[in-house]
Amino acid sequence: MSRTLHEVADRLIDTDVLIIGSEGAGARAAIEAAGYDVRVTVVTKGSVAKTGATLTAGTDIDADGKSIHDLCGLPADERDTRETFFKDMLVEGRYINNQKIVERHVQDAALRLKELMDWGMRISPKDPVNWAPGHSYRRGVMSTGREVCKALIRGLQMFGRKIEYFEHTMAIDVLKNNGRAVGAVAVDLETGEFLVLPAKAVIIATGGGLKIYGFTTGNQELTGDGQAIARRAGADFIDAQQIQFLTTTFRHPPVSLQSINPILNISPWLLNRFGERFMMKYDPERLERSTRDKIAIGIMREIWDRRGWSDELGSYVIMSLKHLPDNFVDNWARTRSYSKEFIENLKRNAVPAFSASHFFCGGIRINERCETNVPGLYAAGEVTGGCHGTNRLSGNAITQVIVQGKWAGEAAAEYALKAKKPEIDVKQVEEIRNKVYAPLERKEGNSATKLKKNIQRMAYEDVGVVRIASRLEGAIKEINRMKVDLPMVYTPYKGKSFNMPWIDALEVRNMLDTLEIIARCALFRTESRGNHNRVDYPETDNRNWLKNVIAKEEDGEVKIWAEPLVTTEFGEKIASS
Amino acid sequence: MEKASEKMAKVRVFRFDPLKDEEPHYQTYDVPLKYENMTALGLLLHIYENLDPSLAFMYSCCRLSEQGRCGVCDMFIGGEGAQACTYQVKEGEILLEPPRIIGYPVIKDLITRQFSLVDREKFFVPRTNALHRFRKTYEKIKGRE
Repeated sequence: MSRTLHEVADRLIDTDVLIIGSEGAGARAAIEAAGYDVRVTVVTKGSVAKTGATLTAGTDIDADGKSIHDLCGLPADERDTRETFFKDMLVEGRYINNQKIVERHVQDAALRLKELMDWGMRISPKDPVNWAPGHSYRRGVMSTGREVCKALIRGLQMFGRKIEYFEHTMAIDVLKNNGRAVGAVAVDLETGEFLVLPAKAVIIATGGGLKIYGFTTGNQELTGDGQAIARRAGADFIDAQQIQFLTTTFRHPPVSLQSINPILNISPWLLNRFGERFMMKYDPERLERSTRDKIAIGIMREIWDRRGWSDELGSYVIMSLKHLPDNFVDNWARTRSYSKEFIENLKRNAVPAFSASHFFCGGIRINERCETNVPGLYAAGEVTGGCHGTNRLSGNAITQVIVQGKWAGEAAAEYALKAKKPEIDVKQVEEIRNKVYAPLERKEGNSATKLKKNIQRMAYEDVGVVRIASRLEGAIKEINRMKVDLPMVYTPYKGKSFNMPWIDALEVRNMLDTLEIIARCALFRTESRGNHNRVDYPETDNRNWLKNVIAKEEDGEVKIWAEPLVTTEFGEKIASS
Repeated sequence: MEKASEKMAKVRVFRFDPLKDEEPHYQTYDVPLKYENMTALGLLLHIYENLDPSLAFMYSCCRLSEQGRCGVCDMFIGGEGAQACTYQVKEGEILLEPPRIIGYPVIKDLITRQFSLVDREKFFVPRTNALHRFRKTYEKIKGRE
């Protein structure tokens, strides 16, 4: 006897456009989609405007100078055009960006920025337009993540109850029927209920998977859920190996991070376990003032050769300012916004130094309308790839989410207006449900919390800022081994309301799925380009690798191939010059 | 660092599971202070990972430069509004409660339902003094009623 959908689901929530993720891209998509005659539902693992990466963003928002000046009325350089912005993005992305996306991105950037300002985003009055490295002109409009969230909330409020929100609700999988996305299933973390959300179009806007790495500047909930959901739904990935790391960050136990890049300017000492200044080996001339990638390679090599320290969070080397006079450090610190305790501690003690994941440049492959290769499935924001190529310009992250959020909302709503009522395969839902609740029913097995830590450590050491074939192969083997363990995961606590070991178990599956794609793409791309550092292939190979690496899951296996770049006329002109 | 680990904190945590309990209760844990600058969040993580996996709490942003930005870990520590990720703990007794007395309904343990979307913008002050401001506004609203 087959069961009906009502029997399988604890709650059935019918909608037209379903958005997974409620910050930056998700919120912007919801605002756009709500303008159409469709029902809009947003599910988020955290709380709206409380969790997610947008709130903690830095934040400057990029658009070309002329448009900033003309549209937003801010003091920017009028010589800066959309073409120069386009060129800067391509140069920073080492020419493997999707040029169609970039072209639409530079066209829309200022319009979206103006929109945020209209919704009440305040611009920093002191220094409204900032000049960040990599840009040809002053281009980053300074604000804060909080202001961006505030503006987006005002935007959401315009539609009142038309947009339905489900907070503390973790999406598990996208449902498919006849090759098209027909909704999703989710778990209400407050009550442990199983939700089925039939929808005509689904937008994934969950951000990067930064927390796959133990050391990260991102938030705790970014565990690559969106990427894993898309992978299981059969979406293509593009250049998933391109992950931005902040090369030297340091932590303030137990869970805090801050970049020490500015400290590198005053020549600190980076020391290994034997007290050696190891940069003497990797860059004898410039030592600790070397380039970011050289320092990353130095630190990682020491860690690989077991000359670093190690603790529960991962391995690190240490940085010391002890050789500098106290008043020198004080004088330098005066120009920075570090807390006093922090500087006092720096003067006395060495602190751990390492690389931390910062931004996902690669991800789900989309076109310039945010459509994936699965009909009805859309993606927007950091979860996607192609916009930034191998490296993101400083300040382009918020621009990406608001620009792509609009495209996705628009495209999904238009699709939903035409699409038929979704038909859901009950058997598929039942299978997912059994998997989701299995850890709660098991009496014994492995702890997901421990597994999570192991994954984070492995990701950081083997698929981290510096890569080498042997370690990547080892990581892929280890991932497959962990996947075998996955059905053995159990939760020591059985309650359904906010059961944290259970949440860990659900996240671990996503982390493994996403990390596998990253590792395989990194192994496939046999060159170093931008954020992708291969010790065994240190050169950028423009002859063979002006291509995109595409990955896709087929029958549980990841298939990888290279595809020619998506170019436009203008992009080709720049590449040839 | 080794010496610091000998110090212990006695952590009293508010516990309430709406699916099981009728009344909230308090549970006490002994946690070693592993680091010099251990925060209340560090204590909670230690309890969750080593002592009691049934404890529920939330945290999100947690970076030194950005700590205290999101306000997800807002709670009452020793009766004062604070954020778990920035509150540095000392040896001895420490009381952790959800900010329920200012009108956050408790979902479970230290997790509360935060304000509705419309209110959230009004209360959008996630720095450390956020809770004091919440309380003031709350009292004002109550006074008006």
